[in-house]
Amino acid sequence: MVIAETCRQALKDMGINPDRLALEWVSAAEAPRFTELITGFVSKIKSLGPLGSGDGEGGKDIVQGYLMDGVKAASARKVRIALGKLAKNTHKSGNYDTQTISTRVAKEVLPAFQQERVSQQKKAKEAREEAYKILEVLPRRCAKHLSNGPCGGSVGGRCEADPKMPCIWQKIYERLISLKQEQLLREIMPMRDWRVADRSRRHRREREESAL
Amino acid sequence: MAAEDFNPRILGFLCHWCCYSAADAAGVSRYQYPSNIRVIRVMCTGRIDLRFILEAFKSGADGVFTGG
Repeated sequence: MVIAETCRQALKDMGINPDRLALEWVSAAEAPRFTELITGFVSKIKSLGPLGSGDGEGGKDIVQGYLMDGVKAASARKVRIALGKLAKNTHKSGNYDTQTISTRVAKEVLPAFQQERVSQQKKAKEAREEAYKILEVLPRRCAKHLSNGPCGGSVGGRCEADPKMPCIWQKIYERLISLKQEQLLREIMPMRDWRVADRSRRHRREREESAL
Repeated sequence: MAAEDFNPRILGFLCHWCCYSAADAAGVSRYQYPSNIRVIRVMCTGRIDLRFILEAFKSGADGVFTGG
């Protein structure tokens, strides 16, 4: 019950209708009651609409973003300790009054959750920004000028064009993994503007020599 | 999407000893109930964690039903 109440308040905190979570008690012998409850719950969710589209839910993408941080916050130590303490105390006092639990969750668990969620949000934003920076700058160092991933010719993390050099795409991949932003690799980069590209000296010299 | 076309995805956490048996019994005695619910059997409702539920919503559930 403590978990359920925390979850409801957490959902509310993330702008999700807490009615989307139901906690019911059905004994093994109560098949008709189970059918009834499920039917009722399904029609209730139907009336709420898909996740993110209900009243006060700010759209699918926003809710998804909140949930990402929320899941991380829910596993944070601070939140878990608060939750455990409250559950223990509730059990000790034997007071399972919904109102009491609700106020205590709001006072003892939710602040920790909110705090964690905000810090997760901040962390995710910073990681994203750094990942974008990596993807903007590092691909320029690729010998083959690739902007959308490795060529596939690297051996043991070494560049195929110059085995003395590391494969820069290998490096990019490792850094994005450590930032947990590897999904950004799926994004297609915009075309590079080759009109203003500075051709290499070697290239030019080759041209001169081959000129008749 | 029109409201009538909307088929919610609902995740059910059912306790092995209570609700899951009830669902089983409902099936055996041929009670009709909506097929929107996908069931995960847990050995006890107490096993369910805050994270499970948030993860369920994150994975695209429109509602979560816990049955003890």
